[in-house]
Amino acid sequence: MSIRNDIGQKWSSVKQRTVDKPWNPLTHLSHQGRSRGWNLLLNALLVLLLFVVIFPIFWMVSTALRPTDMIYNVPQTLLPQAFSVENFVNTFEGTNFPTYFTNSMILSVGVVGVTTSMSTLAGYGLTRIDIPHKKTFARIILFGYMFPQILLAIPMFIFWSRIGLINSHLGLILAVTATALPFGIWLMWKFFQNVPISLEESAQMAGASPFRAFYEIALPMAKPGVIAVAIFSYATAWGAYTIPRIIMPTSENWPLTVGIHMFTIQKQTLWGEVMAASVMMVIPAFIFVFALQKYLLEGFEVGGQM
Amino acid sequence: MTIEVSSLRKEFSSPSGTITAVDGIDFSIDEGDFFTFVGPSGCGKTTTLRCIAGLETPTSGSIRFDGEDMTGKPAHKRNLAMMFQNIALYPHMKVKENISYPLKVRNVPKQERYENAEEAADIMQIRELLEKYPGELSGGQQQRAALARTIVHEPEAFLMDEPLSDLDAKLKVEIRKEIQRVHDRVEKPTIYVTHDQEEAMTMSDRIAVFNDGGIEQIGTPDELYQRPTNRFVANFIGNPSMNFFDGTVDRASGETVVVSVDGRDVELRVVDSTAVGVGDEVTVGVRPEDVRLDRNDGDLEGEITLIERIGKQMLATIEGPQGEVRVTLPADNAYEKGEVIRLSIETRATHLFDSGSNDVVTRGPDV
Ligand SMILES: Nc1ncnc2c1ncn2[C@@H]1O[C@H](COP(=O)(O)OP(=O)(O)OP(=O)(O)O)[C@@H](O)[C@H]1O
Ligand SMILES: [Mg+2]
Repeated sequence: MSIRNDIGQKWSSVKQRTVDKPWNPLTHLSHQGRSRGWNLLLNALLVLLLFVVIFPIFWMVSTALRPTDMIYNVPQTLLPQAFSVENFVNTFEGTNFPTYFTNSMILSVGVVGVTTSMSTLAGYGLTRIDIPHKKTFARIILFGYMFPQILLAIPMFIFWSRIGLINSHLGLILAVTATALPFGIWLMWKFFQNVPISLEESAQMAGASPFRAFYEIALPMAKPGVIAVAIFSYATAWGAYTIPRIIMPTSENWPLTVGIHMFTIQKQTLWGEVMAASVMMVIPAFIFVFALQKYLLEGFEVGGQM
Repeated sequence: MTIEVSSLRKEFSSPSGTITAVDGIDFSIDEGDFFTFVGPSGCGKTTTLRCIAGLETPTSGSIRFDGEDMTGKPAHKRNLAMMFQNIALYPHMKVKENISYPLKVRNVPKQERYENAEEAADIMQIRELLEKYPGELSGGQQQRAALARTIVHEPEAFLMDEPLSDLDAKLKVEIRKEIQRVHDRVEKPTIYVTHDQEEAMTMSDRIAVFNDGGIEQIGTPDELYQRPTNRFVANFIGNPSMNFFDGTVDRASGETVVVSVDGRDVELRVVDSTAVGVGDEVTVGVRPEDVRLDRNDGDLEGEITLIERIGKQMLATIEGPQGEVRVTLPADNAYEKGEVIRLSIETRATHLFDSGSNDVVTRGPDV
């Protein structure tokens, strides 16, 4: 009885304390007289972080919108003193930008298409078919993903030149797909593990062929995974540099990444064009992700219901 | 359609070796039969059903529909309707789309599909749920939606794996009636799986009692109740379940067998006393309603340890040297917990089992 009371008292005193002053790392520290400094430090870190992330983007846009002859002004202003689309016009008319852009588009469409469909089929197969040594396979897949691209690119160059895939869109699509596929397969594998097989069996009992059961039941349930793989493989393809740099020697086959980089290492760096091209390169990525994120979230809602 | 299953065997391979889920399953189901698999958990009911459905390939044995061998015919071509033990509604489809899915597969136009779905939903009393997603339904509502999906098209047979397990008692009775009504209307064979013997007894034309990967007995509810062929069936069928006393045959002649149970002689009437010999180890089985209590008179003795109500009647549990005995009593009995009481067995209503094989050897004329 007395012990109980004792505990009761201790407990109530603890409670009182928490009611009076909810524990919070920041205010807690303030009692030790470090509040100001700590807050300042945190805020400074945040600003620094924002600066590191946002500023290059801001600078890119701001430079791209300046008249060409004001780009090299010293001292430079943060915001353009005059707006101009001159750089964009120059990029389109005076550089290979349209070609690079088209190449990047072809590459991305190809890689997204091949990676998404192959990852989906492979992930499904791995969960539904009894394949011996699945675990080993999984390890190899993830291991393959860990290779630095430059290590893959050089042997690829040798292979690709033997089979005549150097400088071809198909060759590049296959090569970049090879870098995106391991993670894609692994992701879809995990997604399909969460789709109960009995749902497809039930569809088969309803008269659906196994393929139809996959297409109408399993696939919609794994849709968030498919979208995630699409976004991921798009990012891989749109940003691919090392592999195209090596297996696409001819400049008219370069994607934007390589092309824009080449702007900077010609006789003189065309900063206006570089920035304008970069701005235009970011736009499709934004559109793609923005269009798909809607489905991604929608998929999560449905998935969350069961 | 008729369904014949013969010498069915199904093995699963697992990391720890081969598991034989079922072995030596034989039965046939006639057009319009309501056939039930009943048995304890893990005895192979679902496995057998899945073999019939085509979702599992039998290791050996054959399954025939109307005499035609089904080996190699995939599940989606067998035209069956199946209700899964875990319900299996499609979470990304509305209830009405779920229910009408078998029709969608059969290319029925949308309008007609949804009308049929509404009818099926009416039968299962879930019309107001048609526009919802399965995730928004309670367990019982999901079960009814899944049932509606099985009745929406015209299958050759219905396979139902514990369709009522998530329902409350009242709803169970209601849906049971719906299932039977649908069954009577379509006159197709229904295979119904349950581990609840009472459900099996009330719904079925015939029952197969499963145990440990095999079938112990097949028969009508009456046959199983009155003429169990072995101790497992005798124990499993009937609630409260049968009492068993181990004993030795003392005398056997004519219609009389005298069994010594725990040193006391119990005289029994049987249809065939030549089936037992003096000295045989036997188990006497007697249902709780065939044991009488008396304060003074009786072959056996014990103490009442529990009296509980079961429906209209009371059930007394009596502990004695012969083991635990369950006895049903009228509700207005005067017995009390703790009383020491004498028991007598209705001599014409017992089952005699061989203690070794547990098979029935003979039984009383009035079982
Ligand atoms: N896919 C499988 N792999 C391995 N073993 C299995 C598999 N399916 C079933 N089994 C085994 O086969 C036996 C029978 O299982 P089954 O599901 O048919 O039982 P059940 O009678 O339906 O039981 P319950 O009443 O619990 O549903 C069990 O021992 C089970 O562990
Ligand atoms: Mg089961």
